[in-house]
Amino acid sequence: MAVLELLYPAAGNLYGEMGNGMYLTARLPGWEIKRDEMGEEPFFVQHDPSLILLGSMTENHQEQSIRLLLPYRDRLFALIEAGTVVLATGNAWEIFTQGITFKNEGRRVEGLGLLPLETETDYFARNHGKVLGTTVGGEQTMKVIGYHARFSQVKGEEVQLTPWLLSEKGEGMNRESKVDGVRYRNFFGTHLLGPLLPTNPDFAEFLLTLTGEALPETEETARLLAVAREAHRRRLSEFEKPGMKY
Amino acid sequence: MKKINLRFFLALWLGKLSIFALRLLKKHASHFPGELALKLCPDFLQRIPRPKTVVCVTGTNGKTTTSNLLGDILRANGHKITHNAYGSNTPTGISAVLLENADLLGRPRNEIALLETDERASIHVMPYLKPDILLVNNMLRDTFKRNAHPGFIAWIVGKATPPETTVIYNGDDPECRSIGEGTNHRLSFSLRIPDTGNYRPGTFEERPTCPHCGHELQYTLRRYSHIGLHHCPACGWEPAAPDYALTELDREARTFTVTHGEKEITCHLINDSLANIYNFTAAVAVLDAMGLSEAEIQKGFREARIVASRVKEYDVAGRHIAMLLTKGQSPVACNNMFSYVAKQEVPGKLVVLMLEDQHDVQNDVENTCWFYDCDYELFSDPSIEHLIIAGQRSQDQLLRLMIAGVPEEKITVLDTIDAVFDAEVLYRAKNIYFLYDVFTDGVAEKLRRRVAEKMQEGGAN
Ligand SMILES: [Zn+2]
Repeated sequence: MAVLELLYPAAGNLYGEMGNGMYLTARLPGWEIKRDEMGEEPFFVQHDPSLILLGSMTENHQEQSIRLLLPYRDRLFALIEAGTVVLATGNAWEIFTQGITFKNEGRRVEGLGLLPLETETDYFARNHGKVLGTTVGGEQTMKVIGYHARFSQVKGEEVQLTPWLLSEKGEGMNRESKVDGVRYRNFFGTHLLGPLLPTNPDFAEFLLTLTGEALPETEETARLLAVAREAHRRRLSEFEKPGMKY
Repeated sequence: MKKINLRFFLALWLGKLSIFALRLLKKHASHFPGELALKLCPDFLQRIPRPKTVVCVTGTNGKTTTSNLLGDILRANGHKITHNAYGSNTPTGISAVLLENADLLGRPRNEIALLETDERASIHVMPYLKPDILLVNNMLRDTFKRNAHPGFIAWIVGKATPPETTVIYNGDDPECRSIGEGTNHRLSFSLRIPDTGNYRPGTFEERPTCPHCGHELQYTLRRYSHIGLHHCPACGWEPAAPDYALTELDREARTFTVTHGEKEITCHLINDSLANIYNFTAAVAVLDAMGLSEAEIQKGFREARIVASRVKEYDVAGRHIAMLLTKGQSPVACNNMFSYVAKQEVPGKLVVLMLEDQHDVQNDVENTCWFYDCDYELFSDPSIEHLIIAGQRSQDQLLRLMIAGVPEEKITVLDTIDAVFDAEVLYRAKNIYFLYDVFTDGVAEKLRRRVAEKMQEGGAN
């Protein structure tokens, strides 16, 4: 049976992040939804989920999530190597970097270390804004719109990785960068946050096809998709308006 | 405090002159004099002599209500206070009231300054004014463009709080817990009564985690958002016993009782909304900590003005219209209003959602993340017969409502707010709930009048 695993929704629910799970629940009638409580063994340790979601969280929760996931890191990485679809949005994907330096506190926390990148967090350097870009880390490219809001910048050997997004307008993974996030096998990390999937329904469909599971096609799901696409079309035209500030 | 210098005097005098000039022009002097003073003397707040007692009020919701109430009660007891009731709660507004209170040598006239202080701006105010008391009402999700997340805001307020300040904080809010912990004298307040029945929880629940072990906290009683009685099921952590506990609420007698050690202070219940019950408990704690007697506090609550309500209700020709001022982009404010609509036990409700940020319509593309922090699921209640969603973001809200399980045939989608005037369903409904925000309050009022007129015409036929 197809399973959507919501990894630590108690932490990763900032900025409307629950929207992704909510949208997929409506899009995927019949799929099982598993929620991992913090402090308990995640579902993926003993089972094979079809798709794992992890969303924006506070900086304290980033640290906690790293600590809680460390004992299961090998299993999680093995799943990723084997092609399990994982989407980590907002600052959630930063926990997969080598480490997070909290500049205001003068300390560094070791990350899960999947990605050869470093994260730097500075509470006095908050940045947020819109992003309009094209996905490059996928078999098909598509326009994606969204928002980012964070205290962090991700730096490192970008060239060795496939970024997820080429930003046409708006910031990338750090202030100088025009690319954001990463695609590694079927692991997708991006600073775009909140309801990324309902806001970009075609990216959601692409992600779902990667799971290899059968996707429900009913009158309701068709209508849901049509409304999501229409909302996306309208927002995209607003994002593309000349003179729009990013 | 830095020494006062020539630049300070220049800022003080020109600031005072500008207040005088604005008064001649019959204009509000809430912002400009402070702006001028800070321009001339950027460290004005570090130099101005501080009133004997400074109380700052901060938090996401209830700052204005609570500080106005505190102001009323202090004045009712003969205290002369300086209060930014009509000014802004930022450094400019605070500078403006302090310079107004100062004489020509900068010395404060009133001994008490009561300052509603914006959470983010607290870092530019509190380190210099060193409040004797800081009240933290709550730390809730707010517009994230400005406020990021409550944990960050709590961090800012904590950083801004000098060690000599007594921190009075909401013990039912796990996000307030860290402010002044380990450094300050702290007093907490909490509601220790059964569920007040004010709030109907939806499906979205914030899920804070234990500050010690990271396990999800468990609520024995969740009042709203993440506010309530909580503990950690894994390590047993729970908040310390409250210093001020609301132990009795009598809606019929219109009284509430706050217990503090041996003391039991029973006061007049001005209003019984849950938010206000918290505001009143906090106010009692602050007044008691300031040294007011039980009798003085009681007198204050008896004489305080009615707290303005965000809900206005009208009955016209056998129909009911409710006007709900709803702060768009602020999930907790929205959820409180959504919950209000859902729990009204009347049939055939029509809900009109007009939550549009006019500024964003003109200059930006409104961020819709907050729709997914809001409990649109509450609108799937069968008592809600129909919904009108109007404005630039109506298509996004249609999607959100469909995800929430509201059948599409129950929803009318209108691209502009003005189109609501022509929606026929509006003039047939028995119970109408207009949810509008500050940007649409003019239109909302016009709509209410139009509906009332039509209903009266209909009633005459
Ligand atoms: Zn614990």
